[in-house]
Amino acid sequence: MTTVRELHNRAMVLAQEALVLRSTDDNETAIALAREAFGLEALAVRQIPQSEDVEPTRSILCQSAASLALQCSEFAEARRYAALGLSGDPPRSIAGELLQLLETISFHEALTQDGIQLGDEFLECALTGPAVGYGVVGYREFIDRITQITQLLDRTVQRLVGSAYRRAGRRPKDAQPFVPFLEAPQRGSFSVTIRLGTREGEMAPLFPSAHDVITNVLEGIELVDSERESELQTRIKDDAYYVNFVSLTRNMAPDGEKISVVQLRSRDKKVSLARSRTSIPVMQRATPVEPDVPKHIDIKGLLDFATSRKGESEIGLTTDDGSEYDIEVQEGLDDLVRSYYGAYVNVTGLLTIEGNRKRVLLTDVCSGG
Amino acid sequence: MLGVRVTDSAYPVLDLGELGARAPFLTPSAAGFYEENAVVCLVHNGHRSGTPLQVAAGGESSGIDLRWSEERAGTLHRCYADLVKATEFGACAIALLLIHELTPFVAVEQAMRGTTVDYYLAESATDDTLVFNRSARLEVSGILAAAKGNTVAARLDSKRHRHKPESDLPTLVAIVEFGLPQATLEEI
Repeated sequence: MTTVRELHNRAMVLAQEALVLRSTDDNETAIALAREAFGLEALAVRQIPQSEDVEPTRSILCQSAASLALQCSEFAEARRYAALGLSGDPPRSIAGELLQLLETISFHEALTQDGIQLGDEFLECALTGPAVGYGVVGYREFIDRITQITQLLDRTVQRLVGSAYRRAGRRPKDAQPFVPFLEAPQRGSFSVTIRLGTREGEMAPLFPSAHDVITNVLEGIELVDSERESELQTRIKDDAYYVNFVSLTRNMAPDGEKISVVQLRSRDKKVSLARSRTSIPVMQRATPVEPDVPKHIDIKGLLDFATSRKGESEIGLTTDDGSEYDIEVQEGLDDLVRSYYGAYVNVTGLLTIEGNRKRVLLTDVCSGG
Repeated sequence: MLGVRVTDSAYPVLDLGELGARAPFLTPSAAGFYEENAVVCLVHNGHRSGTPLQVAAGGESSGIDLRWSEERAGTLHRCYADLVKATEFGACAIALLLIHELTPFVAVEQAMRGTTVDYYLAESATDDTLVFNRSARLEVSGILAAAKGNTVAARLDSKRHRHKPESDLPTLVAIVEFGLPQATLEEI
């Protein structure tokens, strides 16, 4: 009879080959080898006798079998072997890992049911500065930057596939081939990892790869950081996309007080965004020549929704003294403005007055403090 | 339970090209894969074959010459662009060579944990059924280049302070840092 050792060793030879093949992106063969390895490891588990001295061998083999089953998306089998490992008397560390494995199995099963594949491409965002402690960060400093970076990734996909800049409205699902996931923050400088999942069957041949999208975003941020906006503009020819890219990058940039550096890293590129927010200009649309020359204005107030105003403008601003302004947003700045809805902000722009209505063509917005 | 310990190096040279021979439980392609990942991390940090690896093990420090084939080294970075994974796999290459060189463990068993391989060490492989009984776990950790908050000492500290009940598996931790380069072997 084949011994546990022989079965297990044969399984490990196949598992090693699967590991090497995964690194060369030959996932199909890697999955086939993992499936074969799982069969052997499962046989090895079944040969473990029912006695008291079988640990830690029994639980380690169960963990190994469950891991191999997970690699080939055999979720029910993976769960069965993880549970089998827990049903014995595993050492504390193995028990903890088996519980984690059960969670991972459920997560991947749910992804598969939603038709999403989570690939290896990632974008790590690390924040450094006075607002960052050991494993802790100011909520707004974190949330705002993560929002900007996911918007940058999303807009970059649209730009790379050649879609016209879309200001509002829900985009069709087939124009959103990637689904962002957030991995748990790492301690030290506060760092999170964004992974891009892909919707199964929705990656048309002309869609850019997750790697291309991430690289494109990093290269653009690198150009902004090194004050080479003109070079960026030759890459992003569409004004709306260009303004959008620079405005989102600027909002992510260090504020000089709470965050000093934003580091971004993909699997093969690293960019440090150290340029201060205030030194990054956003391209302004040429001021229209009109009989009543608009006046530059800098006001603070609450940015709210159009529905609360019943006016024609989509958004508006109410200052501390109750004055109301309609806000017109230039194309490309809409993502930035949207991120401040409901917040107290500082708006700069060009003011025109038509009867009782005060209209501001917004050229910049930031937190009102 | 098995006690984990390290011994003196018999020969102060570690040749990455010998990983396959020193770790026969690895398939040739896996040995080559680990070796190449280690070389990518070393070259990334500007090292050349023959660079000394500072090793802290068993309470003592020593230098071991780290060697590899420089012929292939220049082109490897194209195949291993993902430095996070390269660090993880490259650390395994150095850790497994150090285990062979500095410890009395002769039997190394493998098991899968998620998508990574765990290693278990024993002084002899006597049982063909209870393969992992009387074995110690090897935990390998890699750092591409030490930085503030991400040092060998900090990583070792976090592993030491992790709650670990007495009844748990004996564990040998190997931390490999490619910036200096340096490696630490310690039982926790």
